[in-house]
Amino acid sequence: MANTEYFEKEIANLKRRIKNIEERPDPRYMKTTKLRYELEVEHLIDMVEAMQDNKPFAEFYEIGQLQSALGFRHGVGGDRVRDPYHYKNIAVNTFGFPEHTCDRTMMALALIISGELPIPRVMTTHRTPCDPHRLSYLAASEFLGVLLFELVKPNSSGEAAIRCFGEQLGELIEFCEKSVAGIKYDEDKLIEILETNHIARGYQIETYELRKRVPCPISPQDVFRIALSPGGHVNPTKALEYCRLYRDELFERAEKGITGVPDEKLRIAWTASAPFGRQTFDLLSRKGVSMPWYHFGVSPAMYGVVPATYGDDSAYGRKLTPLEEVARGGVFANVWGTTAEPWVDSLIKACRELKIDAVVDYLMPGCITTKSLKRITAERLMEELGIPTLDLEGREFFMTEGEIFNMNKKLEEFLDMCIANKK
Amino acid sequence: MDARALEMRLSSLVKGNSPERRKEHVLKAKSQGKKIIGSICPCMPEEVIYAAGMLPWRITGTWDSDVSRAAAYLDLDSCQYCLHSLEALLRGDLDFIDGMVGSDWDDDQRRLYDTWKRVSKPAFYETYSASLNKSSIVVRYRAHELAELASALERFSGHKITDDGLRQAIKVYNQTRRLLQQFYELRKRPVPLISGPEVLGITTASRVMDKAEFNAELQDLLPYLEGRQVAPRSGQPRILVSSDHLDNPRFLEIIEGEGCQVVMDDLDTGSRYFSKLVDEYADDLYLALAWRSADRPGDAAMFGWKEQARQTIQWAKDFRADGVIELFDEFSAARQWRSPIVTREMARENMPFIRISRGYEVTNIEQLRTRVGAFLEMLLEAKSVPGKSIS
Repeated sequence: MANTEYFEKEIANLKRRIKNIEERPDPRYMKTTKLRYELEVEHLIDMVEAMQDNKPFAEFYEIGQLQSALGFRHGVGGDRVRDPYHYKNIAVNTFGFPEHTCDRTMMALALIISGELPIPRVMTTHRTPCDPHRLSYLAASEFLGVLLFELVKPNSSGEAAIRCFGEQLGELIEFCEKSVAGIKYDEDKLIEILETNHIARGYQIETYELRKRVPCPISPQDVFRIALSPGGHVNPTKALEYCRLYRDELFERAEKGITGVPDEKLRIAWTASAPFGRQTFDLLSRKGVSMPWYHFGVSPAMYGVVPATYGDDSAYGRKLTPLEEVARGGVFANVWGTTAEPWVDSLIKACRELKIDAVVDYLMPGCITTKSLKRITAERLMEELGIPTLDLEGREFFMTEGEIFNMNKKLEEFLDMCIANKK
Repeated sequence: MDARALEMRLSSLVKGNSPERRKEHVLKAKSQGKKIIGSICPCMPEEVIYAAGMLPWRITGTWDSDVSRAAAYLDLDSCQYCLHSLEALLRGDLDFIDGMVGSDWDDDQRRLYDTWKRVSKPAFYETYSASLNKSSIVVRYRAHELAELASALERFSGHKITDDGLRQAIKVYNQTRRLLQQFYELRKRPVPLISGPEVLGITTASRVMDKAEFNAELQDLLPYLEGRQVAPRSGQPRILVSSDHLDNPRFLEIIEGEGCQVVMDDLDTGSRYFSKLVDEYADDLYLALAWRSADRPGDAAMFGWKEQARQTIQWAKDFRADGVIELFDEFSAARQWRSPIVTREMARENMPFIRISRGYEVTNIEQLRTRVGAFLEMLLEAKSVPGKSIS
């Protein structure tokens, strides 16, 4: 009998939020948030039913469209655990996995090995976005006996590289069809997913223009919200409609003069990840600090800062196959887990276009790909844009209130300094 | 040549990568007009660099504890080898390096190369893929990458890489591998004819020397070593040491000093370096190099942890090791993530196993001694009580 307790709790929580919005609508927050939660509930209910029916799940990081086109269900990560200490205890003390590593990967692993997330039938891994992610997938695979298919993303990004990756995806398809009963690749479905996601991405790119406005009309919470990829959703039509309505609402609020934070005094970019919880966002709002840009692996591609446009024949000198398009939009678009230039160049570009005053470089334990780039990031931001960077050490899941208090204290001092210097 | 003279030659070779000696070969290569290509990646495609008329040189980091310069760039809680290598660069210890060849081995190495490029602005810098993936698609692509790397190396060195030149380079490197394999066989004997620190000294020396010169030296020494007179160390446990980026023989001196014999290793600076030959008769030499690269024994940063653990266990059995000591860098993400799987495999095979964290520099010596000593005591006790297991 599948353990669906984690998802049942999530569904109950989301339903409570939806009820809260219906009973006490707050004009400060976006109306489409309710629709977003409804979509998440639908997705989770579908997952619970799939688990109960023993349908096959998979974890294909950054190539999720192919996962859906093969007929796998997709599990969710460890973003919303309420008792991180419990899961960390499982992973570190019970099973012996590393303590000083990325929270997100640790929580996801703990959820899987404790049986609270569905165990995938197949996992894929490659070298983006980072080692903790790849290693946690290796760990889950080796510990649980899950089939693992290693993909190699070449270091270069030219035509030969994307062809190589596309061919590997072909091998992955054969592997899955042979290894998991009932799995069959549907290319028409893949194309439909890619085209749906392409439309959604168009909406996102339009909202990037709003971020250029001063004051920024989008709140930090909404900047942090990861954009939905509707193609793989259980209800793709409704999910795509949400993406359109979300775009419309952002423009509507901007036209009405609703700002992201009251009395904007400073504009910051934030990198990598953030603490889960309200305190930091409340601090930003209180200080009048807007955050037009959240910089992580695929955000430059999502918002058009770097080109990764589906169907663009000019990028590689030819039309890409559907599998190559999967690579183009995900793995090849990720600016993490590669050399410094894609990460820093795209950050600088976004900061320039969005008139950013300062950058918060969020450095989590185990996040070598960001932490060991901090000096280069800060130096180049100062040299090329004249803006300061705060190296802010923190976690996604803080174990004590004191830790997050201290972190926010450092953040506040930096923000105050930047605001004072700006005047 | 008499035994004393050969013993001195052996001692000289063992010290080839010591701080005092490791640049000797650099100076010699430079005097011959050769450029030096540095790397920290365990799978640096040395043959291609060699065929381009340059000296491939494995970087050793600083062996003291001061990493204050490097800590301004890289996270202190990250790969200590990378940290100490960057420190060496920033101190000016590596100013003789003309170019770098790097890989996507792991996040730590990628960031080291990023910093290196920014700080040093090397005249030459290229990368390649370090995966062990044996898909023919990937291996063919890697061959394509190697060919492109070769073109870049040619332009930098001004020396054309011909097929014959590359084949000759592969032959030289295969000879190194064969000689080291032969050399390692000496460790299987009931009384190993060469100590753990001596072996590590020699394997790391091979990474900073001209290979033809190294081959000639080891070839001359092997007959002497076959009949070398060593003091018997009866009753001492036989140990396999597993680690990454271990290049300071002092660690193994400390371990052997507690009363054991390090008879085998699972090191990128040791056995993993010379396992597997390249097909030197292949029509497509870049493809042959790519296959060898894919087929080599795995490291923790690579896919296949169970196989890696089983390989270590098999080596321990082949060399009749009584136990395995893993000296891991506390901040090596790959080793940390892999550890529950390795521990489980060791227990399954009843192989006595202990994990001891270490820095890149030799430090916390008494802690290391205490833990090694305790492990050896348990091994001796287990040996004295038939059927007793300590795993």
